[in-house]
Amino acid sequence: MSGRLISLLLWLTVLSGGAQSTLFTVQNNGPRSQRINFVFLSEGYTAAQLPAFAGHVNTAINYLFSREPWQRYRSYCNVFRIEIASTQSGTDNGIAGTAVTTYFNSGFNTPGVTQLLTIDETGQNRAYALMNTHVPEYDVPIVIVNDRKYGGSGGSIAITSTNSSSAQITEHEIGHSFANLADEYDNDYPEYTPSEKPNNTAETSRSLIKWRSWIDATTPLPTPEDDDFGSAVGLFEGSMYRTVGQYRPHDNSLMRSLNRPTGAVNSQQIVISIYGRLSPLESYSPALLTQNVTQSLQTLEFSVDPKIPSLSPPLTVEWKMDGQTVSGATATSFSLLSDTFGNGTHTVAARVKDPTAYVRDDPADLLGETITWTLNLSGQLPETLAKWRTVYGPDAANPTQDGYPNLIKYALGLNPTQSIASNQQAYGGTVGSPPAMYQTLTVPRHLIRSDVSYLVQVSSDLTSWNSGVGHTMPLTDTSTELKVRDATPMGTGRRYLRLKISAAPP
Amino acid sequence: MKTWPFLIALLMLLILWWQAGQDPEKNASTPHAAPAGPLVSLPPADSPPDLTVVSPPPAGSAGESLPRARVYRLLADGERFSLEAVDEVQGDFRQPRAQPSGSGVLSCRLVSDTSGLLASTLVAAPVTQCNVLDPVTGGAVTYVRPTPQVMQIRLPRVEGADRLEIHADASTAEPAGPSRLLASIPLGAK
Repeated sequence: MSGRLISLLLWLTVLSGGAQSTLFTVQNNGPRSQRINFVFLSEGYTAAQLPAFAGHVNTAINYLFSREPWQRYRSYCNVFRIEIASTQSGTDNGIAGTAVTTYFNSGFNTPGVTQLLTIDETGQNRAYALMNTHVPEYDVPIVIVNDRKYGGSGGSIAITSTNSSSAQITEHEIGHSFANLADEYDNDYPEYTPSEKPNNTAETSRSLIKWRSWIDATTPLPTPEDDDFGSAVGLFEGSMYRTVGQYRPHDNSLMRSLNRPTGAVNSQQIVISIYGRLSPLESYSPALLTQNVTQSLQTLEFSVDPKIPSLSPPLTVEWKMDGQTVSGATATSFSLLSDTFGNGTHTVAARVKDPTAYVRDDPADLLGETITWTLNLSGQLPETLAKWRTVYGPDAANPTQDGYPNLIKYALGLNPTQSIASNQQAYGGTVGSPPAMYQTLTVPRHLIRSDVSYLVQVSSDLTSWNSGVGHTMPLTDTSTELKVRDATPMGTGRRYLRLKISAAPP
Repeated sequence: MKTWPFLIALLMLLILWWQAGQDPEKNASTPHAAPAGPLVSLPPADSPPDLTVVSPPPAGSAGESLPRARVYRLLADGERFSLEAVDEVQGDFRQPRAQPSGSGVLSCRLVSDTSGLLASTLVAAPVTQCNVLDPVTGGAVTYVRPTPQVMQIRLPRVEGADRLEIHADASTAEPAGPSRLLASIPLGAK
C-alpha cells in the first residue's frame, strides 16, 4: 500500500511539471546478474505516442535476435524498455526537417552527416540517469528515436531511428561496443591509429594470425577478394581505416557493410563477449563446496543448472571423481555412495561447457565452468577389497551369521558388522506372461565395485550353472540394482538363478 | 460547487494510479530487482541536467538487500577524461568474469592516497570512429564521430578511494603491452 502511495505522490509530482519515466520488462529470461541486459529508451515520443514505442522495441529486438549469433543466445538476454515522453515528436532534422524539443536532445545531421543521428551530452547524461534508476545492471543501452528517417549512431549508447533498416546500424554498433570489434572498412583515415583487435591484425604469418583456426589450409594468404573466398575466413588486406598493412578475416562482413553476415570470427567474438560477462552455469547444489561426511553408506547428491540457449546444441555436462571423468555421466545431476571413495579427501567435479560451433578459440575457457566439491570422508567402508580384507578378514567370513559372507557384503556395499536388512536382500520374481514368462533375480546394491565381478547364473539341476547369451538376459545393471532374467521361459521344468561374486584377479 | 473540479481531478488520478498498478507488463517479471517503482520523477526536458544528484536506491524489500555500487560518469574526449558525476546505484550486479582485455579496453581503477589498488574494472573504450558501407545509402557512412562522449563506469563502493585512474589496457602489438595511464581523476570533492 505504501508503494502505491509513493507512486501516487510521484505521479502528482509529474503533473506539476516533471517528466515521468516508466520501466517495462519486454523479455525476462532470468536474474539480471545472470543475463545480458538490453535497455531501450524512448526519444521523440510524445505522451500520446508512447504506446507505439513498445512495437518499435519489439521490431528492433526481433531483428537483432534473428541474426547470428544472437539468435542462439536470446535466452541469455533480458530486454527492458524505459518510456519517457518528450515535449514534441520526432527529432531535429528528421522527417519534418525542423528542430524539435525532445528529452534526449537528439538530432540528425550532427554534424554534417545526413544519417548520423545522435543525442547530445545532456541527453547522454539523462540516459545514464534513467538507467541508474531503473536498470543499473544495463549492458546494452539503445535509444530509439521516433522518426522514420533512416539513421543512427554508435558509441557508449547506440541510437537508432524507427526506420525499418536502422536496426542494421544498431547491430553493427553493438559489435563495437559489446564485443570490441573493429571496423573492417578499409578507406584510409591517416588520423586514425589502427590496433590489434579480435577481427583486425597486421600479422601475416599463417601460424600467428589470431583467427588461424578458422582459415582453411588451402586458403591463400593474403586472401583474394573474389567470389571463391566470399564466404571464407582468410586474411583480406585492408581494414580499420587502412588500405594496406591491416587485415580483416572476412571479405565483406557486418563490420564492413551493413546487412551482411556477421562473419565467423566476429560471431566468435560476440559469443566470447557474452561469456566474458555470463557464466554458462546458472547454479549448483549443494552450495557448500566442502562437505564433511562422517557416516558410511551416505548417498551424496550433486547437481548443476546449465544455461539453456534458445537454439541447440544444449550445453554439455561432464562429471569427474578425483579428476577422472565418469563414463556416461552427462546428466545435470550426479549421485554416489560415500563409500565409493573410502576415507580421506576426495573431489567430485562438474564441468559445464557450451559446445557451440561459433567458437573455436577460447583460451580463457570462458565457455566452460567447473564446480568442484571437496569431500572430507571419514567412517567409510574400505574402498578396495584388499583394504576390506585387512579390516574385516577373509572373504568367506560371516561375523553376523546372516548368510551373507564378507565378499558379498563388500560387493553390495553393505556393512559387514550388521546383519543384512530385508530390503537389501536379493529376491526372485517373474517378468512377462505365458508362454513368454521368465524368472528374474533382482539384487539391490549400493554401488558397483571395480575389483569384483557380478555374475547371475542359471541352472536346471543345481549342478551345472551357466550365464550369458542363451542363458541369462540382463534387465537392469545400475549402481543401485542388478536385475537379470532367465533366457528360458518358465514351464519347462525347474529353473534356478543365483548371484556369483568373484574377486577380480590381482 | 467549487470543489467539484478538484474532486474530479483527484478521481482521475486515482483511476490512473490504479491502472498503473494493474499493468501486468510493468515490472512484472523482475522480482529480484524491485526497481524504484514504476514512476520516477526526472528533470523536465527543458531544464538543465542535475548531474550530481544521487539517485534514490531501488525501493522495496527485495531492493534493500541488493548490493550497492558507485557509478562514475565521465566525459571522454579521445583519451582525455573528466568526471561529470558520481552516482550511487543498487542492483543485482554480476560477479566479474575474466573478460578479455586488449586494444579498445580501458582499465578503470580506484586507488588510495598511497596508490593502493582498491577496486578495478574493465570497460570498453568509447568508439571514436565508425565508417561502414551502407547499402541503404549506397556508400560509406560515418556513424560515430570523434566528439566527446559520456561514458559510465561502475565500481564497488570502497572506503578511502582517493582517485580514479583510467588506463589504456591496449597496445598495437599482441600480447597487449603494459597499461598506459590516461587520466588520474581526484575524487575528493565527489
